[in-house]
Amino acid sequence: VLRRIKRTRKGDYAVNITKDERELILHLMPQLRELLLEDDSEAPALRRLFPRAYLDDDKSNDVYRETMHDQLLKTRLEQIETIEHSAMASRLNEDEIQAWIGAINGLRLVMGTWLDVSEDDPDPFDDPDDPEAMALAMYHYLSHLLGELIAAVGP
Amino acid sequence: VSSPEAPVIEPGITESPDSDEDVDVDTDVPWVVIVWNDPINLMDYVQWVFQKLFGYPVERARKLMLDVHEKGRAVVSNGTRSSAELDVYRLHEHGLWATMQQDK
Repeated sequence: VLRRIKRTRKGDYAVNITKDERELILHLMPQLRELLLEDDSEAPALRRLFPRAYLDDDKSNDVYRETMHDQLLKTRLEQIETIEHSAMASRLNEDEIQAWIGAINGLRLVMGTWLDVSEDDPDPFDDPDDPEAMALAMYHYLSHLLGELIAAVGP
Repeated sequence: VSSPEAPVIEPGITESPDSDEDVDVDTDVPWVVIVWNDPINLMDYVQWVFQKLFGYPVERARKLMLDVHEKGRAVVSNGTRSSAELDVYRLHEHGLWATMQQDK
């Protein structure tokens, strides 16, 4: 199998994805940042990124949120900054590829929530007239890229 | 390790556990961390997160991932309240839908 993203003998990662893909990443990341900084904790995509820790204990959940939310947000913003700085790079170090994984999956979580995807969704290219076809195609592309990143990093 | 000033419990006057109403029985019940199925996270990704965060061998991580996928949920770790909360935090950091509860 010819892998586009692979660990090198030096321990970093060679990334052979196209310029178009890198530009797509650079186009999408500011939108993820903007959403994260929105002051609307009830937005479904934000609830997906910052979920409850306790299902039926509001008090404990509020304490958890107060304690952990800012750190979770900080991590996500740092991942976006890292992927923006390294989007054009042909080599990534361990920290950078971990940030790519976090940022790409964050984007998938947001897009998947917006698109209300299910596990049995049909092929995104089946219906070219679907107004969401473009977003679905991007979502599936990001899924593919995430799979490549995970395969390169390994357990 | 107790300090030299620590009170010494004398044999014969210790109370039996069920006679002490002040004991919070809940503190002894372990907490479990549950990961719930969601339609977005990839199977390979979820398995990778279990291996990365908990150091589980590939077979165990895969079994837990399949439990999440097929049964809708799986207990992925357990322990004290604070260790469970840390695990939930790390799972949230990785975008998984995790909650914690006491294993009653």
